[in-house]
Amino acid sequence: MSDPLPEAADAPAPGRLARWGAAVRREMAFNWRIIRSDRLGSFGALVILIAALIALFGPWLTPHDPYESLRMADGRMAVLQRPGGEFLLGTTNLARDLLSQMIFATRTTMIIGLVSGLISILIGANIGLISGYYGGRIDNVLMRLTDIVYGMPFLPFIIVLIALFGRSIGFVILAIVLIVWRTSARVIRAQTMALKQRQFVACARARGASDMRIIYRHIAPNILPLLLLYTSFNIAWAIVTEASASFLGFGDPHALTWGGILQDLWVSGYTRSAWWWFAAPSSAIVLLVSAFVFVSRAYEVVANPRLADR
Amino acid sequence: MALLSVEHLTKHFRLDRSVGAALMGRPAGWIKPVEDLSFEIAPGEILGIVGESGCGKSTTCNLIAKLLEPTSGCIRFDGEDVTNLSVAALRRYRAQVQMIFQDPFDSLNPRLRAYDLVAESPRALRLWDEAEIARRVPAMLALVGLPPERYVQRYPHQMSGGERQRVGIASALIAQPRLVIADEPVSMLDVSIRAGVMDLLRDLSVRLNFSCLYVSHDLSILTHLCDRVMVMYLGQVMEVATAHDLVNVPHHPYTRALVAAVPVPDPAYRRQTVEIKGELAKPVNPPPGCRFAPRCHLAMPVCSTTPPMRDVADRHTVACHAVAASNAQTSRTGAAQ
Amino acid sequence: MLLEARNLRVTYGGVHGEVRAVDGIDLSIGESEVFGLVGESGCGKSTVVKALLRLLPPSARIEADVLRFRDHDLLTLPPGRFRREVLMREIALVPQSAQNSLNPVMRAGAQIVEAIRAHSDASAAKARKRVVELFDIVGLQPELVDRYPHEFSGGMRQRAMIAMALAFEPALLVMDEPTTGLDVLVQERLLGRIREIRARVRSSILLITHDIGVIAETADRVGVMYAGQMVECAPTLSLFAAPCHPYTLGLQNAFPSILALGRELISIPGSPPDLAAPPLGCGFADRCPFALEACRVKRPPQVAIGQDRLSACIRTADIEHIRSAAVKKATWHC
Repeated sequence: MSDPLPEAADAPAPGRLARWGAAVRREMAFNWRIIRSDRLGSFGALVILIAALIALFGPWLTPHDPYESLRMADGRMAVLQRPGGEFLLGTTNLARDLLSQMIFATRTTMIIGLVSGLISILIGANIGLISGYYGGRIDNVLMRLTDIVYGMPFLPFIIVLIALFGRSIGFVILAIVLIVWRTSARVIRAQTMALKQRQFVACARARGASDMRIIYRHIAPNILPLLLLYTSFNIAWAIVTEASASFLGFGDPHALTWGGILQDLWVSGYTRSAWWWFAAPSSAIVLLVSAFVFVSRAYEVVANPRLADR
Repeated sequence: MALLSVEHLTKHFRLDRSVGAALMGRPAGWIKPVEDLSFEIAPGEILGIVGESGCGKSTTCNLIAKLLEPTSGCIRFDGEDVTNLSVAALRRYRAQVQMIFQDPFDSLNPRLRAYDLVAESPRALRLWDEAEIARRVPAMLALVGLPPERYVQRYPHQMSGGERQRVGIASALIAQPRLVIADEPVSMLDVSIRAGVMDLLRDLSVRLNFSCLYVSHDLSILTHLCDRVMVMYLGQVMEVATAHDLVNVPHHPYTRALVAAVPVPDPAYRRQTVEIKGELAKPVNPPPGCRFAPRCHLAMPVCSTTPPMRDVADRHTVACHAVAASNAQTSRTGAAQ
Repeated sequence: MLLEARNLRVTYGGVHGEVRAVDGIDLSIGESEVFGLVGESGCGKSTVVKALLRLLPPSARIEADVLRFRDHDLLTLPPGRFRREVLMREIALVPQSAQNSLNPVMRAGAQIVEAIRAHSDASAAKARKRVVELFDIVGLQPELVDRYPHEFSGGMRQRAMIAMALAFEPALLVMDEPTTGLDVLVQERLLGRIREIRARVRSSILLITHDIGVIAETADRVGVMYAGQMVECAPTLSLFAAPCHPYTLGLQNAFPSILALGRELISIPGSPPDLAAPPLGCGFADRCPFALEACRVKRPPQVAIGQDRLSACIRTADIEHIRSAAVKKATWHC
């Protein structure tokens, strides 16, 4: 068949990987601008960055072993020392350095938070996308499943699961993931259903795109701000949940987490007197969870453009 | 042989009943946006469809573009029956039949740049490899009047309405379809740029050799652009004629009212208005027969049966019992003399 | 002179800087006259309406040398007096997409009764009587007074909004894009109805639209707007018979007519200027095939042509030559 199109200059064709790489870089630049534009979001990002650095490098830089019972200069056991001097955050009733414990716990908390948050958003987003796009029976089944999960009380479920299968980080992550995906699934489904009506989706179908292509190439990029908002939120939820479970004694006994530190405090009975022991982990939890929530708030402006200054 | 041939195409939607109505045994309602539609498009022809809201022209576009499945009837493309297609056959069909959409602001994915928007069709249909796409996309953009160096990297929000619509045209035409369905492509553009986009479509239809099904509610536009125009009312075809004949010798009472109602940009011209009674109805549970009958001043008892399409002149057909009756009378008096 | 505006300017405080939506227009409407304001999207015609009726957001600034309605100075009139004396009583608005302006959970008649009683001391009974009268003027059946808006068709809802606007027999009825979005037969019926209203009620009408066909049929005088400026203003017949501005010529070329099927349509290349950074000279200079260097340097003044016409073009002396060149496609697309 004769080619009526005029010849264009030969351009080097970028491979698929190069195209995706460029797209990812563009997305990251875009996201960076979103977070930077919101003051609280910037603050949150900074806190998260610091926590990540501590989680990554902290354990090599701790002054002491977190489980070691320490002695002071004069030979006595450093039991319940106030913050200051050698022990920046004070010590526990077993003469353990709180700062070292906090640093180690940061790593565990971050891992649990990030992994649970990311896996739960992957599940929630995919269920939301597929349910919202296909509708009909698939939607019914997936949403009834979501309803069942909604019906489950968060903490008791996690406690039961952990009690059944054992106290390890893996099961804590599993328990959190199994519950936390539900909210993002609902919201993303609603957004997908709205986007499905847009003319560019009909256009994509007319151009020959398959259902999968429409979902992942056309609809998903348009829900990205919402997705990132819920990722951040999910991570925040995961951290709080893990802290609650550990505090109640259902965390991994071999892992050190902020909730676990609080649990030690509670069990020791010194809650009212050893304020430093209480202050450090609780402030850390509040700070990190707030940080993730602030970052998700920054995305809210993008996800709902009417909030923005247009 | 006709490029596209549509026979007795019908689309019905069942209305969901409320629980109360279902319990009381009331029958479900039906929306019947397209009823027993038959027409043909020749290769290289531009056929227009005109009608008011609810006439079924958008549904017809979606049926032919296979974004909707017909309830009954037959669609033939190049002689081949394409009413029911497998996934692979549908892909082949989409390479031949493409659609241009109405809203330049909504029909482009806001997250894709012009290059990816135009490349969507060949990528989705796996027509060419990336090297070939990289050759053809800039060429296509140039063809629709958008210099590629300036437009390839742009996002929709960085383009005006006319530019976006040109990107839409480029993305429809890049796969070299043989039939292009244009669903009111200029109605949301400013008047001063409509002519440019319409001309582009007409020039490209000759250059790239495709037929066009152009749908609009604006008769002035259609008569300028199209070879033949089809008038639809509430899902039925009323009249089909060349643009010239439709405006100058309309036969069907609805067409007459429509032509008489078009505003003319000449203050010295006094239009003869044709009043038709009643309001435009929705195609919900319509009565059988000609759907214009309730508003028609020529309505007769026989109009409760659907009138067949009859030739009244060269390439001019009308579906109206009154017109047929008066033509029969004229030929009888003519014969008697 | 019913409404007089000289050098009307409206500036919005936008996110990316100030936007001069209306850049010094002169407008005068007489008694019992239909004035058509025509222009494309972004030309400022809707802003003019909103400025007259004080419907602009607080960040907008309205300035004018003269802005007078009858004996009210609209620039200095305090808001309370404006609401009580001018709005609805002297100037009434039928907004854009009027079909969607009715409250769906209230009966149509009741909404108009409410509007009447909000602006006067009329009793409920008197107001209702007035509503029945108004429905008659606009050609709606009296039974429809007690129906809900969803029982009306689009054209009927439009007429109900016109009825609401006519409640106090305003001297000036402003209609913002009354026929946009209506089907052609409904539009024709509405235009016929507007003609009848004119006969029965002595109001003047300010008709805003982008549809030149509607203007040709309905307006006595026409003002053509582009990029916030009034480029031409003339009685309808003379404007269409012999336009005196290149933009008007361009619009005529671009508008199809079923009376002239063989005529080639010519579009105007380019797009309107960005009003956040308005050009120094004539706003149309970039797209005008007849533009001179002088056109880009300074805003062209309004040139009077004959007794009742104005054109903002410095080349009106060459207008005969311009008109004959404008009908050729090559002039616009070289």
